[in-house]
Amino acid sequence: MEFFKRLFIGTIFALNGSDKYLHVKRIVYNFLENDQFRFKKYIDFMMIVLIFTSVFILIKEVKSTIDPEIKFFNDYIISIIFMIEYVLRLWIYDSSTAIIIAQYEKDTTLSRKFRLRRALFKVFLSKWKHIRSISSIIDLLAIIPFFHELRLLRIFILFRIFKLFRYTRSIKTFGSVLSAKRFEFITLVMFASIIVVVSSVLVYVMEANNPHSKINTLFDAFYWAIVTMSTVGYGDVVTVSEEGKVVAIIVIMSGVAVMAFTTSLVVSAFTEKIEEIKEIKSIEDIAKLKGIYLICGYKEIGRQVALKLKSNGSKVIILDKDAKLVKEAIKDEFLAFAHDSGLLNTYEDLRIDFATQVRSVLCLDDTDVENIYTTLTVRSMSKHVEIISILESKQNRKKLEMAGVSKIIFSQEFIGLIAKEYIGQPVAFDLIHALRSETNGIQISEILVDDVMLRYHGDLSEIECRKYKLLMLGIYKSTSKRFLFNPINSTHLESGDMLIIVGDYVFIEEFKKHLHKKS
Amino acid sequence: MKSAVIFGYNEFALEIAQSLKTKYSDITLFVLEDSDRNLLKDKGFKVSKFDLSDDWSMFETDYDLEHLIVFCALQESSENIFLTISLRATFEKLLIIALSTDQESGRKLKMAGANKIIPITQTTVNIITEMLERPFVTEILNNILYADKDLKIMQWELPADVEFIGSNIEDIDWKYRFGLVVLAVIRENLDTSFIYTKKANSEPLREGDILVIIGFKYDIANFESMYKGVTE
Repeated sequence: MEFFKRLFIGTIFALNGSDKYLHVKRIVYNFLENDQFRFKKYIDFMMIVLIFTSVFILIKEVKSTIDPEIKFFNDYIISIIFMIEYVLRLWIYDSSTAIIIAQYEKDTTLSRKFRLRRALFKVFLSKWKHIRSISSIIDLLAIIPFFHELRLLRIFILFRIFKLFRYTRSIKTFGSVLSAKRFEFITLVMFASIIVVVSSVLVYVMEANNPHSKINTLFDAFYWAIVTMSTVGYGDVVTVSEEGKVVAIIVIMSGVAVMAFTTSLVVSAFTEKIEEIKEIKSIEDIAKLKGIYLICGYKEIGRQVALKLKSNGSKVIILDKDAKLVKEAIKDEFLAFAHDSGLLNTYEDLRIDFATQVRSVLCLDDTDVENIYTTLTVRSMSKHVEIISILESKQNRKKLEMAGVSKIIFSQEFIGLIAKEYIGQPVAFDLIHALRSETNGIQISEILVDDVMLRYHGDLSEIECRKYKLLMLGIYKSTSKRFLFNPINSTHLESGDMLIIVGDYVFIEEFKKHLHKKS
Repeated sequence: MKSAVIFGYNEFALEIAQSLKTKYSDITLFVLEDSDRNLLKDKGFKVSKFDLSDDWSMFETDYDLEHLIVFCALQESSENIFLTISLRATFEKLLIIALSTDQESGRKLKMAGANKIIPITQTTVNIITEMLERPFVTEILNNILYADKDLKIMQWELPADVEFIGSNIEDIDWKYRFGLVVLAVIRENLDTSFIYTKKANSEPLREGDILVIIGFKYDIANFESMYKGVTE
């Protein structure tokens, strides 16, 4: 026995430390439970198709004969797939190996023999928590039709429909919204039940002995009460006595009240949850984005920068503590969240991955205190992400640098320089300003030299700038990291070089296409 | 003597004062509060106290108005606009440059008579977005405009007797003859338009056209020695 125990615990330790085992488990978890995993939706879709196929076959089977292959597919294949899914869900629910190891280490620490049975019992208890959950019970019931020989059990195919709760997000959302008003719904159901029970008994007492009444049994009375209360009123069973009609009036009025309450409950549940639902949806949308500009602070500068970046086709996410500003950002059609950009939790809640998703973090709050706070938080999460911050007061420059800002924008300094330059040559300066703000459709643009371009254009003489009414200001050479101003036509082009072009936006776009074609 | 007057006590006013030091020997900061005056005096600036209701005709005695430039950089937009309109009402030809925080105050400053508006928010926004989307352009333009590097920008108003009159801008070999790039030709009656639009490209140069030229310092110096009226 001891030998088997040692062998067992050895195997458990090996499994727990096995990267392969953990990797497989992680993959299964991603496919079945991780909503952020991009391939999960395919599994969900497949399961939904199987569920509908199964129910369709059940309906078809009522009045027609089903091909044996289809029957086999329904009874065995689908059931086996559901069974595998059930077992896999049970497996990934927790880590049995970790539970057993914890028990082993506890026993060893207390210098007693390893109690295998106790460890297995703990594993069972943990799994039991999963087994008795509603979704797991539905999964189990959906497998039962596998035992098709028991005719009665075939009806359990219908339980497969309930599995849709697992795979359809909108049904899940609907369920979670309604469950938020659980207490109110229970109260309403209790009220309706009392009315139904009391009125059925009253009507039964008053009508059962009346020869003209169709209410002869307590079940008739119960049926009448339900039909009346729900305001459906089939009219197949009605009260005939005066007393019975008085009860009917009370039941009808209560029914209207219950219906009105139910409707208002559902509406208020949705109204209360709608913001939360929207935020969850927005968080899911973030996971799909790459190359994001994360703007912290949506005051005037933040807003203008966000709008300009958006107009250039960039992806922008807004963070601001002020819910009012966030509302404005949402109105401006941004993904925006009323979260504090200076808190670690914010980025964890929003599941933002700085390494793979964020292009730059822009600290654009109007106080240096907030910008430094945000910078420190972001820098503590990512050492490499680019952080750009505005500086309000010159004396805080060093603090921003220490916090880890990559680039500081000190508007006051630029305004000073602008003032100085403007005095000397106002026309030239206006021109540069106009070029920078792209107000006239003329812009300065960067064009990256790539391998495709090089195939057709080896040097500048082969690039027809003039044809497109463009001006070549220079080339930023990737190898020497130097800007070659006004280069001569024989300048050799290399992959990674950046052409700096001035001209009409439309012509620049055409020019880019020309560069990727043979002249 | 060239003089500059800067209204306001804030980081913008101080930065403007610092930048102008190299070009202007007489710079005065006008402030609203006594406390600000004392602080600025400690920093070595020439300071005067003013009130928005002041009579500005005293400028005529204190400054040579033809060589005076005024910066309106008060914190409050309404005060800045009032100051601008007061100055313009007194002096029709005074060169007034005003700082605006938003588009609305920018429009009002223009209506109040400012010659040039420097939009603070828009400038910051442009700098940030350009830095993100076109980092090389930013670096190059900043080097040309602000840094004391080899590249410089200049503007040149074409005199009547210059050889280029009547020629198309693209027919002149600026690159190999002068080592320069003509960024734009600005013509008075074309208002904001500058070249490198099809129309301007095909029109021959006229007297009074302003050429905006970029080039290395020594090429610009050579060009200056050959032609008159070039300003850096």
